[in-house]
Amino acid sequence: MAHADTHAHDDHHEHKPSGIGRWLFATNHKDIGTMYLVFALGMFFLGGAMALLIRLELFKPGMQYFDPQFYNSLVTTHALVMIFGAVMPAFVGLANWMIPMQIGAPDMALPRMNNYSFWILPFAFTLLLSSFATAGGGPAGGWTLYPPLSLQGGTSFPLTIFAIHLMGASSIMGAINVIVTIMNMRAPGMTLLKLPLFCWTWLITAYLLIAVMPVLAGAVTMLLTDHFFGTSFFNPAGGGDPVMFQHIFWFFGHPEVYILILPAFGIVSEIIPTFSRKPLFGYDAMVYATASIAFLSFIVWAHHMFTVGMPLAGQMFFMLSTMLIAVPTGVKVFNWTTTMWRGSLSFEPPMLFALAFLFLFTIGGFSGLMLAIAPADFQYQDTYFVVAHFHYVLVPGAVFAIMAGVYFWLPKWTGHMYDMALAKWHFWLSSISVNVLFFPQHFLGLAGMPRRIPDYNTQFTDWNMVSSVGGLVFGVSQLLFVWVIVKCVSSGERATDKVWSDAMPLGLEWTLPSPAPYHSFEDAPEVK
Amino acid sequence: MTESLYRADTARRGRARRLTLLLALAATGVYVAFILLHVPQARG
Repeated sequence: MAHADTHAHDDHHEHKPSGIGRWLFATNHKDIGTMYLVFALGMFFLGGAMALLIRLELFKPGMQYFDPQFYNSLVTTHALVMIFGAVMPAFVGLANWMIPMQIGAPDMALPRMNNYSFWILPFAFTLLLSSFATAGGGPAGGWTLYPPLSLQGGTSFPLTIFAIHLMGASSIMGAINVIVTIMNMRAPGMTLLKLPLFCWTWLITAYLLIAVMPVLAGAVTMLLTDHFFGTSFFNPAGGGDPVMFQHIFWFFGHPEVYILILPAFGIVSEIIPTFSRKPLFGYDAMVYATASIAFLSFIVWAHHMFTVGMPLAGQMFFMLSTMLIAVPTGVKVFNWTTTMWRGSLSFEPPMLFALAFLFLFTIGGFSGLMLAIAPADFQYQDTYFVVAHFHYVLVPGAVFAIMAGVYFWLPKWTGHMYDMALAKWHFWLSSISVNVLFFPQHFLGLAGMPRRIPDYNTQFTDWNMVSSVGGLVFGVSQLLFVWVIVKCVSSGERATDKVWSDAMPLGLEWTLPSPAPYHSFEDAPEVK
Repeated sequence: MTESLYRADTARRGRARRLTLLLALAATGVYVAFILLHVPQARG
């Protein structure tokens, strides 16, 4: 698709800034993408360490290691770190690396804002985590920050609120950058319906971010004024309503779920055709399905709060609208499966992770449908079944897709092939242990084990032990991921420009040499 | 590098600026609107 003299031209401009300044003042999309990905990996291990402490406490019934307040802080910050520190920055990192290369642009449209939006994050998470050192410990009211509980948080409360504001500002700036880049910087001939699916899903995600991150910011600002300035947005004594917070929070929170999964759909839509050696089945349908999911995500929020007490008509509406999401999601699963049908399949690490995504994300989707049934939800609400559901969507869903994307594009970034055998070990250990970790939590939830409680009835012991062992194996096996990456950066067989095969993958990024030059597409390629 | 591309293409630079401003205003508008919408409730 791109013209042929890309290599020769780019080689003249391989000068890079050096020293710490290269990273502090970075405006190059590849450098900023790398910083986002490294930051996300660090946060993934920090959030993972918190998860291991949670599983350690839950290994046996009774209070083992932590007091309940600290346990609640671990649960709260594990969620905030994983959502805002690991998954979202990882997707932004992939977007930074790949979107300009996929659309034939020299960089993101707003490189300096790109720098700001990254450098806000370390400060935001320093604020959040420093609250552990304050009197009363870290935030312990859950990542949903429901009042009145969250208002009782002591010193950690304003630190958490300010940290969330900063994370929101960073996300919004990143989203604006993605939209302006895709709308303004596409190579000549690249019409919207020729965009790679990863760009499409990110474009829609960016609109979702701009629509809902300010809603979260508004909600936490109102919490702040309730706590410090005597307003009563959520205080019934002054005419407010705590349930209103839940409505506002989930009006942000449900689209947020799709912010965490739509870019994953994009990555999988790039990988499955490559390793099936066939074009994606139903490209247009995939684009429209993504847009439909994004639209529907705005009208389903109250399925998170069926048990607060709402009119029957409200329950019916939110139940049926939630179930409607299964239609465009089903279109996607059908199209991925049909892409593989009669394809010339091979099972390199990116494809293995994409296939695990397909199976395991679908399990998470099905348990989501069960939770959408209002009368059944009264039983499942606030049990481990919910924990099992959203971890299936987010770990073998979003996180596996990120790993698939890293394994897919890593040779293009570093110029080296990685250790395939080690990467396959990483895959098999991760996908077996992730099921050992989360599948038993369905049983625990259906048997009535509540979430966010450090102790439990002895009847839940066996499955909790199994889940904790799965957690330990999953956590340790992620060290393999780091080892594969470190080895690949420093050594390994040279990657070809197309990396995977001569026929596939298609796309402008594969017309660049491996490793991709520091400055790419200074002259826009022509897309036919 | 990106800047040189933009210098060479003032129409595209203008479009990018307008779109950036529009999106930033939209985000700010949603933030302010969601708070103002709930002020009557906060007053009791």
